[in-house]
Amino acid sequence: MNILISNTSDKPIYDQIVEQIKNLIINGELTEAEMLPSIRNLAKELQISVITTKRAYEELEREGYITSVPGKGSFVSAHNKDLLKEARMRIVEDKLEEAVSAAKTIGMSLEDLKNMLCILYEEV
Amino acid sequence: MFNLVVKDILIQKKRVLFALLYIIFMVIAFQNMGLVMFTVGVTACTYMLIMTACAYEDMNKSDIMMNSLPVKKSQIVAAKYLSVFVFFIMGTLAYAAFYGVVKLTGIPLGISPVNMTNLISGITSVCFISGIYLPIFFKVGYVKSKIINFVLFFSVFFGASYLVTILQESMSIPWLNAIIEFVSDRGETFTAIVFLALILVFMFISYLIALRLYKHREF
Amino acid sequence: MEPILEIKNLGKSFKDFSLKKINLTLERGFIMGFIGPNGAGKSTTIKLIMNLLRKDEGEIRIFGKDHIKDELEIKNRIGFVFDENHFYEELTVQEMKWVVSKLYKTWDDAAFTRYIERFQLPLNRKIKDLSKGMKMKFALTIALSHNAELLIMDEPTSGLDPLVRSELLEILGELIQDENKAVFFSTHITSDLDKIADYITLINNGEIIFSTAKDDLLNNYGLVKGDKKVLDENLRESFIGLKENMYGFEGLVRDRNNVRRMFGDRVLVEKPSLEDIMLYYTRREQNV
Repeated sequence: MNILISNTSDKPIYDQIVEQIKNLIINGELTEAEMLPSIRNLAKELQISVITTKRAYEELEREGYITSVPGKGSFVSAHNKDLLKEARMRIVEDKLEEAVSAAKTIGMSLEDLKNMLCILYEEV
Repeated sequence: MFNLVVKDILIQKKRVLFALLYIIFMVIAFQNMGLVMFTVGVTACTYMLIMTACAYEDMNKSDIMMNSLPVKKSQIVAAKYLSVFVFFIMGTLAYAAFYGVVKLTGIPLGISPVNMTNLISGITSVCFISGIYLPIFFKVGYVKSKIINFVLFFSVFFGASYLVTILQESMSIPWLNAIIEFVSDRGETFTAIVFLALILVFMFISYLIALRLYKHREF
Repeated sequence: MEPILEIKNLGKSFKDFSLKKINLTLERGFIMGFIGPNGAGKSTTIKLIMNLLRKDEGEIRIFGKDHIKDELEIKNRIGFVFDENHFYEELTVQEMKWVVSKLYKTWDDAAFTRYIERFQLPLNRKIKDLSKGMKMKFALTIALSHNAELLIMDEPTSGLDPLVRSELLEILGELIQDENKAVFFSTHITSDLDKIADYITLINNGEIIFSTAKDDLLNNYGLVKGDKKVLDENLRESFIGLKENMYGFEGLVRDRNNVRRMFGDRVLVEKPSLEDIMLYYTRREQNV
């Protein structure tokens, strides 16, 4: 599990952690029911405030990515299959959007783009 | 508290040896002093040890550290007073050892013996100095107490040589004479006890003053 | 549970300086950085907490107890590190430990040995022969070897190289794994230590300017730069501190998102460092 913190980024550190843990869950690097490091341990490892990691975990919990069991720790939620799928679809959508705008800048037609997609779908 | 006394010795290490050897120098240098030799020698040695212990206390503002530790101010102060007696015993033992060497080897040196009178006058002068000095030290620290201490030392240093003489020959003051006679009539042991009691009372009062001053000090 | 450290209306006057009824609270499980320029009152506050100075007014409660009434018990549970060495320099590491260890009820010799080995401190060397970094590590070792719940440090990293500072950072991170413990440290340079601080208290001229979660500061405050033409009354008023030069202005605002919304691309808005925040607050004081 990798989490990289940028101190120069305008994005709050807790937000960076939330984002990265979400991605780890979505990518399947963190699997269902897997235990996350404790708030204090994560703060120590990243050399950041406990308040920051606490806020990040609270955010993740609120969004349903993780569940915290008092006295035991935080775990990747078991009930987020749909959520995960939705999130993953959003990633696909984002990437496709990127592809479409790239295609448009070079004047590629929808027809050509579809063909390309079909070929790629078969190949991969 | 015991460890704080040991600290007062550890802190000086080589100087302890130097102070003890200083007694030999004093004996040789003050050959004509006769009976006062012990008092002067041991007082000088004890005094030196007390001063060094106090000096090191000031060097790194160690009061800040000591007073941040879970130790009562009364213990810090009492330990210094206890150190005075420990230093006196060390000085006395060193003197006694040197006395033994001189007598056994037959070195032609005049050296007064360690007897009751000497011990009493020794402890009296040591307590007199430290009883006055320590409250000042606990009030202002070593550096600021240096001047007062200088005056004190010389007055006692020269005063000490008269102390025994005064005690033995102060027949001119009738009431003092009467007291001395009354006490000495009851024998040497009784005299010693009375003296020791007076010294202890003096030291205890000095300790109370020092503690009061130390409690009001800021670091 | 009551706060591990609570200061209420604490005041102390000297001839040329006074601490003006300051308040602050530190809960268990957190690290508080106490920042401010030289002479702002940081050391005075810490000395008052340790009862090295006598307060004129106010209240200091540590572990929920009065810091004078229960002084001995409190000091048993506090570890302290000062900006300079106050141990007896003529003693060796081993001897100094012997003197100090006898005074703590909860001395943990195993912990002492562990830190000595970790810091590679030579037991038989006199304290005066230790380097500055080693002296600090020795003080830290003593502070951590009696199961202290509260660690109080006055400018622990002043004059130390980055390597030692980062080691200290690591130790503090380990210490705070225990959520019953807390750390209170002061510094005049906002050092690397601030990275792990949960709360920041800024003091200037004997007054607490703010005492707040560090994240709130860094996530909301903003360093705004731009052309002087943009500088209208509206914007001026939102500045905590403002610097103007020939080519533009730079200032600190409390709500950077608000400024972004209002001025958009016309100004450059950046995330400030704690140093920026401290400088603008203390400089404003000077300008007024």
